[in-house]
Amino acid sequence: MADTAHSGTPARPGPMGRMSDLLWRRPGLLILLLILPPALWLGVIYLGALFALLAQSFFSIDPFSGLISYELTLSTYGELFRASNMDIILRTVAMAASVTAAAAIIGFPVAYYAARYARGRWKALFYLGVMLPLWSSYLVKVYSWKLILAKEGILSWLFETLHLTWLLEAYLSLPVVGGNSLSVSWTGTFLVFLYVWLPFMILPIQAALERVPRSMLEASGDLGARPAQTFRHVLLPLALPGVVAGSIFTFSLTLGDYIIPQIVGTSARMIGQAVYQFQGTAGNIPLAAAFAVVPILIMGVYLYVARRMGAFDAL
Amino acid sequence: MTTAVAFRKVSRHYGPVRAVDAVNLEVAEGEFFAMLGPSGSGKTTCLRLIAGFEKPTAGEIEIFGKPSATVPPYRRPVNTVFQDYALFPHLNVRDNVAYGLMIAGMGKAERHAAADAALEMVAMPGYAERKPSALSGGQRQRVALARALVNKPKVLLLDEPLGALDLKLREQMQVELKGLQRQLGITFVFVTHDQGEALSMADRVAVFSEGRIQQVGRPEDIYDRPETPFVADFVGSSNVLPPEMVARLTGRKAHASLRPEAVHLQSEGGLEARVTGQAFLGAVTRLTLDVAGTPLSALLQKGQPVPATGDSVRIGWDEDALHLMERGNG
Amino acid sequence: MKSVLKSCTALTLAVGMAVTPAMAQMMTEIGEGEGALNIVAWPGYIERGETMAEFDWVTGFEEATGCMVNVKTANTSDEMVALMNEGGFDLVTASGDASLRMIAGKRVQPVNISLIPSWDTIDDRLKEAPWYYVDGQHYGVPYMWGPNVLMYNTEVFGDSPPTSWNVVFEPMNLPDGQPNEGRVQAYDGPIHIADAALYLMTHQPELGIESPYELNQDQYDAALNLLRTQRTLVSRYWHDAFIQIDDFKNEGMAASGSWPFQVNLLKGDGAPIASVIPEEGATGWADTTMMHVDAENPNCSYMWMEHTLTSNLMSDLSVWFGANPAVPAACTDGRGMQTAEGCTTNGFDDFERISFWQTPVSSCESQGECVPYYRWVSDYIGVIGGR
Repeated sequence: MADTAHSGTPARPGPMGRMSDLLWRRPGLLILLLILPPALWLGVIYLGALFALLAQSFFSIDPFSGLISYELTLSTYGELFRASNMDIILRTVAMAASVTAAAAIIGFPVAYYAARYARGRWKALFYLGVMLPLWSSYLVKVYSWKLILAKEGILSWLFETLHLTWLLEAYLSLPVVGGNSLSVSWTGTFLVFLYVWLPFMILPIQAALERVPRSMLEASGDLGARPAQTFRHVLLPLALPGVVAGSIFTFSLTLGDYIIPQIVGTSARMIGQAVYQFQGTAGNIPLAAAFAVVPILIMGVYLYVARRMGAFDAL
Repeated sequence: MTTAVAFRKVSRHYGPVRAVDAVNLEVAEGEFFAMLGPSGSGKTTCLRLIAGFEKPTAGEIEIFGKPSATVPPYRRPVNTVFQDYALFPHLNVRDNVAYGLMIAGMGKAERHAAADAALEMVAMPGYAERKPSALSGGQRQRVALARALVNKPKVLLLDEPLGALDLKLREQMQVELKGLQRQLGITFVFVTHDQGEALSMADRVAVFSEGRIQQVGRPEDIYDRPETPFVADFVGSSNVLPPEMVARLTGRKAHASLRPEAVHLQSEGGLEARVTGQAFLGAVTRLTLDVAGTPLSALLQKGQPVPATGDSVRIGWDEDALHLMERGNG
Repeated sequence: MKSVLKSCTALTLAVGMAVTPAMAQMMTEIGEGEGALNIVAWPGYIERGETMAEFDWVTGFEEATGCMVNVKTANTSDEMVALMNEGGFDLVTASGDASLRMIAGKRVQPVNISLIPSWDTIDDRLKEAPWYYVDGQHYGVPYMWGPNVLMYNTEVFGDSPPTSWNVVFEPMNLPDGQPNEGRVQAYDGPIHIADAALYLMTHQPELGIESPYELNQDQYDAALNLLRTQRTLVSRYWHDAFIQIDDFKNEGMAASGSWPFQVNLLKGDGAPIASVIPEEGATGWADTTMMHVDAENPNCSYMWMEHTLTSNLMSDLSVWFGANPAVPAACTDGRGMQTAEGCTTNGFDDFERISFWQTPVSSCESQGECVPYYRWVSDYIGVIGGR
């Protein structure tokens, strides 16, 4: 008894055993081994590619030959401020902002229900319902929305059946959001974006809400807050990191998308399309790169503002 | 004396589970009332029914004479100290304490002053700027108390508020809570599973088991004259003697309780018992005995000789220490 | 760093518009087939009987040569150029606005026409055409050509089919009494500026436009102005042939510039659709099968190019796509379904009325200085964006 206790653990045979012992003695080494591949991937492949792209944006295209001139200049960024290019940026940001706001407004109650009330089978059903749109192909979804929104599509038919065609007509006659039909209007683009990105808003909000203990809400009510006040002063601040996480998804996904506005909408370009077209078409890689920088900057500003407003205080 | 809270045949069922079953109860104004029972006995549900977080399945709860069925939690003149304190993590201590006042529409300067005063009262001045995450358990408990008291509730509900604290802190807080209650004169309804806590702090205690109240009374009554074997066993781990044995001893067939500290060893007379074990508890030693097949425990004061396991001893007790429980169990 | 970036850039885009022929090694003989062939093509160009059983000009080739054909479709010339820049393809059916860019960018290699026995059967009008014949080298084999027709809804136009492109350029009431606003479409590619220029050649002769692809600043501005008017009429520009088909079915479209391909498919579906080459003439495309400079399957590529000239391909494709074969005999010799009348319908005799797509360059032939293509791109984006 005493003998075995004093002889210590027998050395584990084999290289695996020695390896395990080494990693146990030096936990830092284990962490290094675990983190190295993703760090390399992120650092070299991702940041490298990003840097190569960004570097291009400091070149310019020669206006006469159309060739790229490899001299560092800010003139390409100046190009961004041309009216038609500013239009693209503002249009995209406005779209991303409205999609994000709408997704948060629609997604919050859904996430709230799922986090607070859904149990067992209903919870499974909720996840299925939220995730289902993510399983089918993105293109299939977008094309089916085109059919839903078409002038002679399902939605028009629905309005007609309900004798509400006048309502649809009145809406479509509005400037900016209207158009010849929903499928060629900004409203159409907006609806499809909203549908496609909604799960990315719901899931983080739901995760955040699930982390809010029930007693927190009861405490607020107990201290005299009506449900609306509890929402404003407790639930929303505590769920805000989830909303912000969701909005980062919906906002940046909308900023970068170039398929949806091509299939549904007025054909006016958004940033993603501009990048695609400038690099693929015009050979104007510098301008494409400069356009690609815009969403990065916008997201940077967005995160900064969110932090300043205390969105991450409850983390 | 005004009745602060009254339960009239209140039940709360979850499907087939009767969390609270036809409970009648009256808590007087200014009273320190404890609800005592093991987990799942319905005491916390009763507290939540008073706060309004749960609605009774049947029966009526009156708060200061007013039926509360249609009154939402945020309109009830009660405040709660939650078991997990439920401090708002995004607000600092001062804003946490001032929360109820802010909701009530009090101006910023005024409510901050009130919050600071409340923090002073719970001996937490100087912590106002901190976030709850930077506080220890005991400190959070005090903040939660201040947050409830600052609203000057008519009834303060405390849900196992001391459960998460270590022994020393718990004993200190027991004294402070009792002092606060006396000083403020507010009705306290206090939920605990710790019989020592209930007995030492409360003016009256209700003992819960399986959704029903077993006994309501002053701590001495509960302790000395338990009405049911459950109460006898749960409050102070009394010996519960089976009716057959009681019949032999007294001629009346009923359960009876016998406090372990009332049992003493004697050289002759009494009953013969065999020692089955001992446990050293500091000031006393608990002796477990076997009396003709009935297990029994006795407490020996320090200094008395402790018999060894397997020894045969004779035991006796004072005449009035044996308390007959005619009601039976439940 | 600079040189790395330079070569990166060169790999990812066709550099510039200056036409300098590549002096790559031409093949001198055809060996065994490699077993595979990767082609970038317009939608509907390479059919293997999967859309409709009777339109199949791939299966026979695969059986005869063992070269299994893999097709990647591209919706615009710009996508074609981008795909060829990415590499991994052997052949591309490039239109004139892409072909010169790819020749200049050295993405395609000269073809040794002596290895293509049926070269002589090619339409004389297409031999040595400027969109693939550069500095005495043939950069490919003519494939198909056709007009960008004016497609219209016969229910809207009734007995008075449109005779001018004005129905898609100028606000007006169509014969059914409703305005054309919201019911016309235009092509979602910068090359559509040429359609506007072509229209102006007839309607504003004082501008002195000689070629719709060679515009000085004034002519260019006039074309953009016309397109800005058009923007108020167009709800959505068409980009994808099948989306346009869908729009004519579900969005109540009345007229649009289009390809015979969409016209035929819509007609085949029983939609009330017809097409016309209006009085101003039309822009058009003349496509060339071009070979990637790094083609992995050169033998199969040469076999395919010969196959295009001799098989049922020219004939059946001209029926299927509503286009004209590069081999005139395909209209008449019964190798496929096409007939002389069919070719006439498709505009076989209108060759002279068609201004074939080519890439606008700054040093143009008709005048000293022209607006180059990259500005067409950004300005057309502006026009569509409402500028």
